[in-house]
Amino acid sequence: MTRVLSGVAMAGVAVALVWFLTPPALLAVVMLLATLAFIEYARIVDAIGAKVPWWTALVATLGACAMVPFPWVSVEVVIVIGLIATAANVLLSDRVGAPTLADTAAAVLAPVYIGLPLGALVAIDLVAGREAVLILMGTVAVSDTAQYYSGRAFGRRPLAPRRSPKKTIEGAVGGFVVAPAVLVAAGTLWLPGIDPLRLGLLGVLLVLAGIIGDLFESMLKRAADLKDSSHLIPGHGGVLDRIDALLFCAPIFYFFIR
Amino acid sequence: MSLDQLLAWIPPGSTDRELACQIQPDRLPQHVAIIMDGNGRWAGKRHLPRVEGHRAGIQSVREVLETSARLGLEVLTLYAFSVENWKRPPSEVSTLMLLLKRYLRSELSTLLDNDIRFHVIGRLEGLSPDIRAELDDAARRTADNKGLRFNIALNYGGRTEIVDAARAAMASGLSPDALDEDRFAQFLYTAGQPDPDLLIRTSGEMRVSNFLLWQIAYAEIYVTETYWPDFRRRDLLEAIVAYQKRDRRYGGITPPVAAGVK
Repeated sequence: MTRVLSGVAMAGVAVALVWFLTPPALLAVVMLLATLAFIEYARIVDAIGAKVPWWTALVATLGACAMVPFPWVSVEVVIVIGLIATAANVLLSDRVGAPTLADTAAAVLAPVYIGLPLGALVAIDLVAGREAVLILMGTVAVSDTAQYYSGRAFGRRPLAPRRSPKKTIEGAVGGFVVAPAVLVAAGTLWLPGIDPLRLGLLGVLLVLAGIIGDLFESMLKRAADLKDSSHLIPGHGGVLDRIDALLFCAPIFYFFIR
Repeated sequence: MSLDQLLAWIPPGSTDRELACQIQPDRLPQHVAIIMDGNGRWAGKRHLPRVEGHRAGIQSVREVLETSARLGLEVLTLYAFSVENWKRPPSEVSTLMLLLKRYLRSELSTLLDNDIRFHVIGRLEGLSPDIRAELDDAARRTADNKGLRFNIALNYGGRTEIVDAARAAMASGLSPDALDEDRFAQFLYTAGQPDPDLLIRTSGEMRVSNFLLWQIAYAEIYVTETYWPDFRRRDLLEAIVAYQKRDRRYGGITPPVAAGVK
């Protein structure tokens, strides 16, 4: 019950924010979200045994996020400077051997994994409008839900037993059937000018990316021996648990509608 | 469309309505051209990114377009992107183009509902193929509309237009003696349209900026301090009221022709 209630509350808040905020204001909220996601990510990395240079990686993540919709400097610049600053941090640390590569790689992953996708979400709002953002979030949510329920009803064969015991092939099929259909219907109504065939293809890609994003985050948590990325949202775990699929879907959606 | 249509759209008692009532329907400018300036400054004043100003400007386009259609203007030309605007940062240009694409897609139904004919002026070959496809599509689908002609100037330069017209005139094999002003105008991007009677520039700049150089020979120029994203129905009505108070002499002395009298 807690899970349902906080789910509904979150969805309501998210829709209201996307609907009423202008892109710069939405960016501020999204950067807050990116900070929370980064804190959870850094904790996962820490539990795995690597260490990200905290401030450097956070600034690079927020910089990458902001530069996607509003490129004062281009995103490449942020990534390159982030890399150099990270390397300097690792060089100055007392770490030696394999962990040095793990530290560097984990730090560079933060802006790519968290910063760019959340920035893409705001960029979608800027160039395609709030309807497009809501359609993206709706499609990801529908895909998740369809997978969950069709998995519960028909799930027999596990999809990725080593990564997630709960996901089933039947569940994934449910996602692939329902989510593209919903995207085609919603897109025809609210995204004029994109033909239904392209929307259907986008829907399939989003479900696929969402499944990979979901499994990827589970894999990281498993490696860290954590069940949830945090306990911020009652019944849902952390921010990263909530946006894992969206992180892989938002950039794809952005490339598609550009 | 007519003034009645406009009045039906404006709530009674508002200042917009008072303004609208001052407009003399028989003396409307046939063609209004607008240099949409000040998006960047509007955003800068609010400490927002420049592209946010462009995004905010879309609402002004919407309102000016609908007001013009309801008022019964014949032609509205908006200066959206000049041949010189490519000098801006690439990221701003690409966002502008994305906004344009989004605008075309989302506003096509408005154009169709208001019987507006959409037309692009400028060097289209300089635009990316996907943008051109969208523009062509919008022009084709509104080609049979009979109401307001809506020109959008993209990759436009006044001198470029004159050069293009001169090239076209030469290529057509026209003899130099046969070329006069009327004939030359037939080679411009705006062939067959009346020249602008009223040129509006927003955000206070006193420049023509290479816009419709040939066509504005006798246009009345109206400059407002308002930044383009703040430009609303009221501002357009104010400009038209101001226009109707002017005398247009077309180089003569007497008798002055009141603006709008054909």
